[in-house]
Amino acid sequence: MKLLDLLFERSARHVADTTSRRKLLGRLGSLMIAGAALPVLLPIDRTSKALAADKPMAGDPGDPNSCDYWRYCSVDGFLCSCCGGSVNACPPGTEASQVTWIGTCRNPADGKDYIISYNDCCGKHSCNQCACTRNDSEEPAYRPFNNNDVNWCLAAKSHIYHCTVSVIRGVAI
Amino acid sequence: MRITRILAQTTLALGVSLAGAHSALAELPADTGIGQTVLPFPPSPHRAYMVDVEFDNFVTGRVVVVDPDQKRFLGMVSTGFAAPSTLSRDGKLLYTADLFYSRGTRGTRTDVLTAWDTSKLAPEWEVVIPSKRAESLTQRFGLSTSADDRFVYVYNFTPSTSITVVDTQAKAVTSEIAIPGCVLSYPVGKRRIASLCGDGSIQLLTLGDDGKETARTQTKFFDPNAEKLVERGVNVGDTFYFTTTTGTVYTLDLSGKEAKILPTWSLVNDEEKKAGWAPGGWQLLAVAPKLNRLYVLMHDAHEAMKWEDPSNTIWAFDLKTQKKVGTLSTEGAPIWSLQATSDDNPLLLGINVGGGMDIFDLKSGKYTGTMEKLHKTATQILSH
Repeated sequence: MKLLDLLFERSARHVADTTSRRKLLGRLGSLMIAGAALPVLLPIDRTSKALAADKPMAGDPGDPNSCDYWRYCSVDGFLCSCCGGSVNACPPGTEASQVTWIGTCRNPADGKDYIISYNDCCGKHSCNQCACTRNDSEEPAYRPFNNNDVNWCLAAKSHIYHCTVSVIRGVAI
Repeated sequence: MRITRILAQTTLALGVSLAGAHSALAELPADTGIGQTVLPFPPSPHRAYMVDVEFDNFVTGRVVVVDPDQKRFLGMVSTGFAAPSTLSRDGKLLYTADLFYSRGTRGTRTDVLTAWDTSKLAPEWEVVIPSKRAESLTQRFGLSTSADDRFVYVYNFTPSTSITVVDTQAKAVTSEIAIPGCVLSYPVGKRRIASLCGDGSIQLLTLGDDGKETARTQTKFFDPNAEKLVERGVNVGDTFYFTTTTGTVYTLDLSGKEAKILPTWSLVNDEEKKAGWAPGGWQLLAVAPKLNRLYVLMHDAHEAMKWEDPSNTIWAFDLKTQKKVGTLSTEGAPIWSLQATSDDNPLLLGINVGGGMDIFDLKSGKYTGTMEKLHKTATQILSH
């Protein structure tokens, strides 16, 4: 899901990400790993738990209200954390669709690749806050479960798209 | 008080003089009523239909109809939830596959194929279709017609994939054909539909005149583990062109019973590849059939994650020699999707991410201007 007028802004930010901020985050991650102060694995979140993930926690660095947060590496839509929900909770009165697609993102804190599911929250129209489009691990439509151009409200009662959460499902092997 | 009197006198004098000037003109007659604009038929080959999903709303969308020569807004149609759209081959109808909820964002879902008259921009007829049509950013082969306009093919994604076949004569659904593992409905000739499959093959379905499947074949096409082939290809008749995200062009000849894979070629030479050039965008390819040229949105300093990013640079290729023959560029907001018209003096139209449509005359190779503030989040342009 994309928002064209913000895509341009996102592209500019994307350039900034890839040339400076992301590298900085990457370096920061490496430094932290060198310090060996971090847990090896992050806990596996579940959508049914409304975790307060809006504040950075150890091993999960970055700002979930910002498109350059590491879990958003393949998100395409509005960030639920800006829409009254959180990185892994739907906003009030919207329904999570459990059928979804997945991406793989590297956590700069531990350098590991995580499987992230980008579930859509549905039943109200576009939240229209924090549009974010990143296609780091996206595949074309013939691999639909790796494609973010699809409306993934497919398993919700109403398929009207509101926003997207980014849920850690495990470490990629 | 004195000031008030002077002001009143001046105003009176001015009123008298203006009344004098007016009396020299005949009074306007009352209008005879309110007119109803109808667009000419046949439509100009340059008429463009911009499909806008309006992502900041995403309950309704629109198809905006414009005249790129006069740079005029001609009208629009209202569509339901990211509606795939296509034109009939005879130019008379615009089809949209609309999705509506009875309570706007909730309630009972109804999906219809709506046929709009391209002159009146009003619904001519509709058929209720299974509530399965794909919900995604709209693209060229989510909805298509048979070459004789008899059937319309609606691509479904639930996430099981299938195609709903609508008979435009009977105005009824004739069948739903499962296409497991494959996506989209690339129309081929009068009775065939191609789909791109996750294992890298191309599937070709054949229909009978009753709109039901009579045969299917699958042919190995590309290696999806080695490269990403962008599904948003273009075609001239039954020849389809695709590019990979690194710029290898794959050509399919689908005119026979089985798909024929033609030799691949590259958009970039070694030097350009080294310099970081690669294609990218949403509808990143366009073809002008009368010039036999392919137009491609190109990125410098390309990275894999930018395969759907917009660009200000378009490269032109001669499809016969497969050589680059020119570069077009803009300086405003970058372009996300392309469409070339099919006439002898074609235009290239680009959707820029600033809400405008960029226009190029392809005979002269010149940028002729931009229509600003036309769309919110348009994904594709259709032309006759």
